[in-house]
Amino acid sequence: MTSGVTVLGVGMIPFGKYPSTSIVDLAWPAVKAAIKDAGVAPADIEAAYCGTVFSGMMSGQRILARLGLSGIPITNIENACSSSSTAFRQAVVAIESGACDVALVIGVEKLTKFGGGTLPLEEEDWEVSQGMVMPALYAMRANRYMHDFGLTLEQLCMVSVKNRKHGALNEDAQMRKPVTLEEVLKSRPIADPFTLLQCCPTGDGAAAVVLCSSRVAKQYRSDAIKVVASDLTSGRYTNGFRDMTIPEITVRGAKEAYEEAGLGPEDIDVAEVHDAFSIAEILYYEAFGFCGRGEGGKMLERGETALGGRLPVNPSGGLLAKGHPIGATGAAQIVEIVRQLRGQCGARQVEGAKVGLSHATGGGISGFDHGACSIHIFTR
Amino acid sequence: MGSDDRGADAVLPSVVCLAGDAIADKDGRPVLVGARCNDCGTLAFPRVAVCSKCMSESFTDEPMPERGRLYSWTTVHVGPARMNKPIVLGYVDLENGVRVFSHLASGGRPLMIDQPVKLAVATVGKEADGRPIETFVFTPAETNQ
Repeated sequence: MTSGVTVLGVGMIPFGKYPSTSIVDLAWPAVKAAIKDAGVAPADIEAAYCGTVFSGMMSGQRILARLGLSGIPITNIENACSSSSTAFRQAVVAIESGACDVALVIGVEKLTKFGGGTLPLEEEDWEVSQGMVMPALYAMRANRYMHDFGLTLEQLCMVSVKNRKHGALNEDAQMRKPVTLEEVLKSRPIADPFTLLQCCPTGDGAAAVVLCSSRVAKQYRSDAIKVVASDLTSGRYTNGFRDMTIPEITVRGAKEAYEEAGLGPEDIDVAEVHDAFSIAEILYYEAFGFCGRGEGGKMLERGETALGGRLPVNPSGGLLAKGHPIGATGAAQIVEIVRQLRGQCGARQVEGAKVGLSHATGGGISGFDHGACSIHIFTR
Repeated sequence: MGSDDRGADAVLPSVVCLAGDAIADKDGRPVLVGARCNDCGTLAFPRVAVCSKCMSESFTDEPMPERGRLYSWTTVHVGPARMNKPIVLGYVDLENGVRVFSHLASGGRPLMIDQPVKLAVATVGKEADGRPIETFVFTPAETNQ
């Protein structure tokens, strides 16, 4: 369905800690960069979608007012870690519906304002009220997976080693220093089996994307990246048994996205997946069909998902190294995939990448694998 | 426990119970109280006002089984200052099919995935004013009788 939408321009600021910078000042440089990269006039932008969780009321309006972009429909979207990938999806839907030809997507978050600790979750939720924190949720997935499939702690830690190595090649990454297996194993314990270096860092950031209908794309640039699948789904609620080694929301979303694109896992050249914690990346190899069930650890160990491997995953460094300012993550993944497909990634370029995938999922609430999941597939 | 708190309007309860009225006392033993939909039979824990299967608003309180199986668990070393560290948490699959997120207390014994566990109450933290924080916990059960 999405043969009619293309990405014209992308921009982001390096993810990091900016405790004294406002949301507006985090975001406008990313927006300006995306508009410049797209080659559109600001007045060509007909609608804007801003994904963020903790930025407060009217984030999109506050940001765009600074750049003189007001008077257009601006929609603010909260969907936990999928906020700006959901915003991107809403822009795709708007363009496909004919409501507009050129739209802007913003993702922004400032997590340093909480002063550290785990991500604040909704206290009204039952499990959160009983003590649930995101590291615990992922750690329970990890422990069950290790129990069921014999994944070793060393294999688990290798996700961090790989992604920190990738992040060292990305000037937009929050964590630029590679780490050894030994360092990951010996970093301080967070939620067993996770040590600190198996958890995404706390940070701030912003990213932006300009999209347009294919009909008008040629007015702006000849090398626009096509959006061939744009999927959004929510988790399926149950208060009973759930197999935590199968991220059902991503399995379902992947199937929908592949069907929409008319592609399969064998067609993907590069992927940015939601590695909030080490185990997540391994679960998502399997959910996307990059390998068989229970084979994720071996796929990683063989180097297949590292730069230079068969299917590089998280060449940007992923959430573990690039960082995870949650509302900005989905848009930043799309920035990376677009740059990869354009061949602009320098030392971390996936050679000859023609098809790329981005995946942002999240939301720690009772009865769900995750609350939201948005998957996009792009071709050059 | 929650039932004790409700009577003390002007006085702070001496113990803070995280689980509120989801836990009750039955003949001196703790019991988790959920609800059963009177129209479709769907179980809920904790109690809800509307059924997630059929939207019925008619429920009967349903005591949850006190035994279950530990689906997965973790020891958490971070978290709110008021909670005792480390915090041991897990998912317990009860004998009626309901999955409960719970604190765990192993009493020094090792915890294992799939092991039988049973309900208890324990202190899991302390408020800034010194009052203990209690909630339900699951502990290793000798057998799954």
